[in-house]
Amino acid sequence: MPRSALATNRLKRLAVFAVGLVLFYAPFALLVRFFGLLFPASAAGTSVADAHGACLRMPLGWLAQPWMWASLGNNALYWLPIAVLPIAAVAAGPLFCGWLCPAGALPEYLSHAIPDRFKFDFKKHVDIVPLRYGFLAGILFVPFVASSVCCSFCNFTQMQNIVSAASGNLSGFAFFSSMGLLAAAVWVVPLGLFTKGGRGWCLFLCPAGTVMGLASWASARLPWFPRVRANASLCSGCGTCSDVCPMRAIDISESDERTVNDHLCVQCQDCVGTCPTGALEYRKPS
Amino acid sequence: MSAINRKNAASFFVAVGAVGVTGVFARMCPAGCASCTTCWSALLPAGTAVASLGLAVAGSAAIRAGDAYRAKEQESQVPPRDET
Repeated sequence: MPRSALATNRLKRLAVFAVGLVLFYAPFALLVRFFGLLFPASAAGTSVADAHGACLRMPLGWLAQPWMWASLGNNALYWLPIAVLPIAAVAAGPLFCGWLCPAGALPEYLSHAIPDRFKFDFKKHVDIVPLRYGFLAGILFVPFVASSVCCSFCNFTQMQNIVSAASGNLSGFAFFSSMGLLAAAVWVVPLGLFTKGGRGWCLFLCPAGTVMGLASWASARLPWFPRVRANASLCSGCGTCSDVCPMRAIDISESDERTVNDHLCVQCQDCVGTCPTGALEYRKPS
Repeated sequence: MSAINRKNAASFFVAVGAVGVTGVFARMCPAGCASCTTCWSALLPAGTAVASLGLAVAGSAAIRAGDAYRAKEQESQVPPRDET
């Protein structure tokens, strides 16, 4: 029964990821087109409508670069990663990552095809949270001493190339060169197919996801906001939740008790339906 | 600073350093256009980005393993309690 609940939840999420694909990626890019119609003189209205019109990486990099602040006024969609998504993450957790971002979903769903014994579980070997924040700090502040590296670690572009190619526009393959090819390969193969959970890229290299994780963690104890929470008195310690978590966000204490790591949890709720004792719920703190 | 915080801080700075190295190499690229996602001549920053990610993960794993080893060593050095 719990396994069928997991399959149902994954199917639901897949349907919502399809909505994300239509909203953000060309040839659809409905969100960018909508803002282009509203503000025809802005970047959303004047440039090609694709994932770059709603870039989730560069605006975060610009926060630490005062000389780029003028760019933030050029497109209302640039406020998505800076304000809209973090505020949404405060209110309900990083639902964008767990339910809407196709660039996170693609390697996660592909990784289901590979048996777990061939996958690397980062949680067992590295401290994910400090590495994640370290990469974010690097992306924010490295431009002061060297070049901007936002685009060097970009998987949104690679996702856009794949969607464009699937819709018949093969010019996207022209961008699979050098950094693009390496980034795509690392995003899908070692950090996707062969990573437990399939979300290695999200764990380490997505600045938007890291900011949302920080916002979610900072507000998780406030009484008004729901998150996936574990009820220690119901937990049998079977470990099913930890096994299915794509973000490796469920920690096990020395007393064998499960806790959800709010820095990492994307509120996908795969664990909620899977738990045989109903110990996990998406709810406000009690 | 507790051992756990030292360990986390070390992992944090390893990751910052990895991105920093990538940024420095990106700046050294002769093309200098910062369009590394679309450029065949940017193999140096491209390779560095991937290598630095690997190094950061390996560094963090080494820090964690070292910390666990130190904790085990300290545990083994605690004299048995006299229960008489």
